[in-house]
Amino acid sequence: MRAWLLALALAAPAAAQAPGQPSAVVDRSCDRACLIGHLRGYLQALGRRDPKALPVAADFMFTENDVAMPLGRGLWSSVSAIAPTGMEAADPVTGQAAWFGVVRENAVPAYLGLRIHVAGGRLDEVETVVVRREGLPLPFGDVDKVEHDPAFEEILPPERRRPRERLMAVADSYFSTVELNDGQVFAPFADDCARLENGISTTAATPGAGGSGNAAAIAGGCEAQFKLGIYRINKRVRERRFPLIDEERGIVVATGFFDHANGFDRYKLTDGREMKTALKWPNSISLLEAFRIRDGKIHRIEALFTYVPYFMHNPWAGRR
Amino acid sequence: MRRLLPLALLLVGAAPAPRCDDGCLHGLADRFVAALAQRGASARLPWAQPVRYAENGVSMMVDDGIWATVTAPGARPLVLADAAAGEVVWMGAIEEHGQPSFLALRLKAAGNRIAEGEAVIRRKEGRPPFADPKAIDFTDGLAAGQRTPRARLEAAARGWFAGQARTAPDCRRTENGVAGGCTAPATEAVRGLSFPVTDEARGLVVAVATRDHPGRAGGDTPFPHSYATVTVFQMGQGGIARVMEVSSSVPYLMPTWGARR
Repeated sequence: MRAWLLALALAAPAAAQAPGQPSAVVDRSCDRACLIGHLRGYLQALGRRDPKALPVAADFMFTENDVAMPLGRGLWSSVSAIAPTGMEAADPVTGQAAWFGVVRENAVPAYLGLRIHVAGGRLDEVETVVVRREGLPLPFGDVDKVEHDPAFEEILPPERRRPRERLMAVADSYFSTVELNDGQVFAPFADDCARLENGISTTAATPGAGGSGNAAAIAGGCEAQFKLGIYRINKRVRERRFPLIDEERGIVVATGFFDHANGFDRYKLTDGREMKTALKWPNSISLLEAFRIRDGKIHRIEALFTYVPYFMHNPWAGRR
Repeated sequence: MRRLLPLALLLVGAAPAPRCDDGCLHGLADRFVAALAQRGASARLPWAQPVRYAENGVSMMVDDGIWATVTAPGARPLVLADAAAGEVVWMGAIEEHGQPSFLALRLKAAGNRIAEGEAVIRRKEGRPPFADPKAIDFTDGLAAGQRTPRARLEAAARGWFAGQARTAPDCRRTENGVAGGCTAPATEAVRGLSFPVTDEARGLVVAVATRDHPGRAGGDTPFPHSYATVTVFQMGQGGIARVMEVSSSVPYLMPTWGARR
């Protein structure tokens, strides 16, 4: 009986927290500047290929393109340069920070999407999406001309902000709009909504822009593309996660997979135009996507994504 | 007598499933590949329960993946069965919406039913090598070989991946239909190596593995990368005489499917 009571007493602290929370009081000791500092520290260590310089927690996990691996492998073994600037975001409530930018591997350009989580002054999570040129049709902008929209840095006046829950719902509605895209739009878009994907605008055609598969050649603007049903090949938008939310700036950083089942290789837009799929086989893209939401509407999107085997899973799914 | 009855029932319940012989295994592979090109035909295949299925290292449901894209199976595949192991490998060309791809399919039978399917599919897009799979006779040159015991076949294949195998003077190697030198590509690691099918009489062994490669400055691939592979080896006079591989790019260090089963 006493042993039973002891076990109950030991179990009590964990059961006292809200599900999934390590503490009933949010640890905000690492503010935005602190989180951005960790982010930049990570990039500096990466640039020196020196993972030992990082303060990592005992339960640390690192992933690159949805594969858990030891810190020091993957991009760490090939990186030769890191762009001095990138798009930065932070969420002191959840201890998350993110960076979207350009790197070089053995002098060859790639895009890096980075998410970190800091707990107790140490990194315990690093999730990366590395976008490389692998001979597949993918937007891939000129790395020397990438311009991250300054809107991601701007603090919104209070009346243009929305609560965390609403920001997440708006970001999720974007994914619901992409999924099965048949012209039905669930997401609220600002009239001047614009999107950057792998360093290239896919909502405003840029003359001479590199890469392939640019939807801007078919229609301009965020909502117009979805009303046309350009992205119909997305059978599922899967394993959606929204680890980073910044209410002051209206930022949500999300991750997930777009499953292109490609059960059909031709489809019609809502205006009757016939489209051909770029690839004839099932594939998935793994993405890190940042939304800037103003007045409850999606104003800017910056996404980094790469192909992975169809229906691949993310080790972080079900965690954060 | 009444006390013996439960034991008798137990013995009946434990009766082994009928073994799937070479003909049965060939039949399962042929039916499987034919069903890929007919939507809904998977329901008519003889499945065991439970069934495990994966494409390019990722577990998924039957009727997803290539079940939704294959429009025609190719001709002249290589089908190798191993009744002792209860496994069969089908290597050949398929078409997805009219576009040819390589398919290397491994099936494992439970009795005469399909319990496991693992497909490595290589499409034309992506990093080389890739040649038109429809132009290939996958059985070419494999009719005869050097009779070799199973253990020696597996050792030779292991040695090949380690860069230490003896190869015959006339050894030929293809990767996704493209001819290359008979030595193994330089790797950082070979993971999940297994040998589902062996044909001692013809000196054939099939290897399933994932290869990891570092990125190299000035090379074709400056970043670290991995391939899911299915490789057929045939022994000849003097060592390995034929290496035929289907490889498909997967994310670097992606766990092998076997490790996650």
